[in-house]
Amino acid sequence: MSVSSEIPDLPDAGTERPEAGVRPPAPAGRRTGLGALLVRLHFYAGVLVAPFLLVAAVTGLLYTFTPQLDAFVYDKELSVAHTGDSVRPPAGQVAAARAEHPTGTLIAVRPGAGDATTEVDFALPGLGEKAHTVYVDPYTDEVTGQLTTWYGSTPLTTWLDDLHRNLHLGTAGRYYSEFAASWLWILVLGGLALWWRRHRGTRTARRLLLPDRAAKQGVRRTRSLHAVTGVWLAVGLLALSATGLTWSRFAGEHFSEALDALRSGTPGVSTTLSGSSAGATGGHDHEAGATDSHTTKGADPAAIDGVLDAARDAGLDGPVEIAVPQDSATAWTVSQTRNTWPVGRDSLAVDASIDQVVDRVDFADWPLLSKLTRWGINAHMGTLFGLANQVLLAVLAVGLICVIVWGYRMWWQRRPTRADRRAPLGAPPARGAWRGVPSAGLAVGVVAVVALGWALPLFGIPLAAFLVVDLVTGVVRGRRVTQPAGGRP
Amino acid sequence: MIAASGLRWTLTLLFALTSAHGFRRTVMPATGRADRVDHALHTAMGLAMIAMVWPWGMSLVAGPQIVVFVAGALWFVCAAPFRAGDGTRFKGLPGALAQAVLMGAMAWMVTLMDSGGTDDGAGGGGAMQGMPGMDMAGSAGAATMTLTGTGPKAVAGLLALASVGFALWWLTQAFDRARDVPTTEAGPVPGGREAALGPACHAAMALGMAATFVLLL
Repeated sequence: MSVSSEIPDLPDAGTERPEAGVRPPAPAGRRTGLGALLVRLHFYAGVLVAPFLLVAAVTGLLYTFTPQLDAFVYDKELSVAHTGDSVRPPAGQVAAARAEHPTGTLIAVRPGAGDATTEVDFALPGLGEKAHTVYVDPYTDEVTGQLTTWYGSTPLTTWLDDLHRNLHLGTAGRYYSEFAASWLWILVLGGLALWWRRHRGTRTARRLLLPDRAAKQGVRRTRSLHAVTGVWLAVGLLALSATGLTWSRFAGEHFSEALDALRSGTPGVSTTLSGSSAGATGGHDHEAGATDSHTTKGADPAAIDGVLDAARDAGLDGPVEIAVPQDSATAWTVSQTRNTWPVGRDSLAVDASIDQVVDRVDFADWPLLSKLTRWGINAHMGTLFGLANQVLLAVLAVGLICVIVWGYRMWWQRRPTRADRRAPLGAPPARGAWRGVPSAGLAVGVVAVVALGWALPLFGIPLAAFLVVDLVTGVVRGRRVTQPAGGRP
Repeated sequence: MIAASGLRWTLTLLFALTSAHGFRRTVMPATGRADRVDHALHTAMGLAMIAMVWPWGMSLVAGPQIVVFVAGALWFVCAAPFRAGDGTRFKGLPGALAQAVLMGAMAWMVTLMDSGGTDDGAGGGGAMQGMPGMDMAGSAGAATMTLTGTGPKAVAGLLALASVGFALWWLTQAFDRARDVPTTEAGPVPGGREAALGPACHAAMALGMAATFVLLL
């Protein structure tokens, strides 16, 4: 199959750069207008952002396999060899965990079922957001192991999660993933637009969706592979970019503000038990806390049996997490933790003194944007559709790695090879591409980019920096070119 | 006053650049008398906007600012028909009206901020407490002003839209003029961009003001 196009390959540096002087008219067939601007954007964004995307893809690929890795590495802690007829009451399991680990504050329990062990979390000074988790066989009350966990994640999963999110560089490291996510959708949409425009006049589904097998080895074949793979991955990559941005530092903050402004924040149950207006009105809290002064005694761990029974009676099925209050004026919360479709996130507040549900928020009642956010997070983490989700993520990661490698290969293949103008890489698209775009369109584009740059700071700031560097480079080169030889000392 | 330090610094940089351009054009010997007044007003506008995004700006005396910006609005409208070189007498009127609207918007913002009596020298968020029609969010010294009344909110919304519209119009002009600059392969001829710089600065100022109006909502 031959891809005929009025838009030829990017010019080689060695063949297109004229001597200094006034810019000649664009050669016939050379990209002009929006196409030239898109090529320039796609080229520079690709070259500069791709290393970060590559790291995100590789680390994401590793993270994809965490359920299997956890099952292999932490089999002793996470699962029981023999399941009994019925699980024992959780209070006994908590007591067993406490006996094994006397220090720390009991903060949460995730009762085991099937072959899964019960997880009992203790907060310890110095662990920060992490917890010390003791694993208990729910059929025998025997402790099977202990690990330092992060919101229930094993050390290995936490390590891979940190690697993907911040390369273990803390807050500064988070910028890498936000930078990659902020630019991924630009690269995807820009690439799609270029591929679509490239086939203007000869557009068929086959040409858009299948590699050009007629093309010989060379930049045309590599571009075909790069673009067609990108087309197939586009929807998934856009979804990864969007969901990744929702929990990034800066863009994520803006997203949360937008959710709050639209009253679409994730609702939570009210845990204040008495003397509280929230409790009296049945209002929900996002960060509930006790205010009663007469009840500051810690909650009795033995009450967990009644709390769980009340929650089960109220219809809360499946895997749950029981959050233990730190005083008796605060209700216990029992929340579903089912991350597979259909996602279970119903939540209850239970008064342990009477074993009654005092507040309830069902996932079905969440605002649509909150639900979409939850589903998006689960899909991004590979839990929404189980193994199929993992496979899809792995395909996306491997595909993205291939697209990046092919992209760099194209750059290399475009290098000038003539003996007198040899260079290691191809020339970047020529400056001044904006001249081919109508001014009104450019103006709208600038305003849109400014707004986007504010919403996604790690899109806006690097772009502004690039434009400043590009502008200064152009001015400096322009001065050099227009100076007569020997005109300046 | 704006709480987000990143946005505050971004707007400060933006207004500083436009003010610097205005000041440079004001003192350039080749600048005509009327243009000199225009650029001086733009410089004042940029500086006032810088003050407006910082807590210390709340303690500036409002009266002189209001006088300058109202006079500026009148200047742009009244001087438009008498400007030379436009071909037709009223060709420059739309641009002058846009300038006048933004000058008036400046006067309106300064008036609004002064309506709570902030000329007592108190800096930070405390100076804004009790200001009718405005709320402060955030910690003292790092708070964002927001409007509470429907009327002021509607005005701010309209001004935001108008500012974006002006910005688009000026940006289009800037690109048109930049496109006409003689260009070499290495880039535009040095000095050729001067004609595009004026509308570009107007557009930047209008965009910055639009962002400020949006934050007031």
